[in-house]
Amino acid sequence: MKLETEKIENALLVTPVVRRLDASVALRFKEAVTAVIQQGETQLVLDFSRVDFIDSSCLGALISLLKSLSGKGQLVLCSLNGNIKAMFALTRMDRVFTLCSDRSEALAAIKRGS
Amino acid sequence: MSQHHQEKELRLPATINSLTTLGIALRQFLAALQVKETWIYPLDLALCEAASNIIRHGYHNDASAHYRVHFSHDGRAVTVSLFDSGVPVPEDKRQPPVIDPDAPLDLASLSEGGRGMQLIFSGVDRVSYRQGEDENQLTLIKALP
Repeated sequence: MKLETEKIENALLVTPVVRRLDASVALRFKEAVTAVIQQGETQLVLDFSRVDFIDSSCLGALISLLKSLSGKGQLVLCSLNGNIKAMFALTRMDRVFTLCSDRSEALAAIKRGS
Repeated sequence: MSQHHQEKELRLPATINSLTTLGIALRQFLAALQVKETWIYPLDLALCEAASNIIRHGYHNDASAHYRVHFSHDGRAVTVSLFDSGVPVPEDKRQPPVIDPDAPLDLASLSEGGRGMQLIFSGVDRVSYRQGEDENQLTLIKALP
């Protein structure tokens, strides 16, 4: 599971480099981001600009990551395509996660929440 | 858009890694229909969730087991049938789940799973399930635009 990372001020931008984030990679995705959190990064932006498709396993992984940061940091998602956003709305996860249109908006959301 | 009836079938190992192959196969099958991604995505997602259920709950990730997937279209709808010989879907999971849109979304009590059936039923127009003596068949039908 390849992740690209970029530190901007106190936030870490994490970009999963995978087109399909389904059950075949969801666990590795969760483990890779968990490793980032365990290294002390608690202000995270997950950039989905390289992801075309996610399934419920990925949603579950994201919920797990959000729980692991609860009270200790922030997790903001950005650059989700329209189909993925529709899936978040259908499952009401758009009310659980902070969804931003792009990196700039996500970094601003992190800054507001810090 | 092609009006000709087309079919395709594949047999896949009951491993979670087969989901990628399955998604690619669906999209290859649909390519001739020239439908938009907004139409494809919910079907792809429903199929992914259905196959994932077979692999994890039906076969318990038994890599020696296999499932079959049959794609067809008649110019009006796309039909995808999944065949397996694993543990059948429990009867209470064969109907669309009842979702309370006002249920609290407390993070601490939020489940990491349990959304698959909702995504299956919402992604297609019709879902049917047949539990046979030797084989189970789940069929997803989505009308073409």
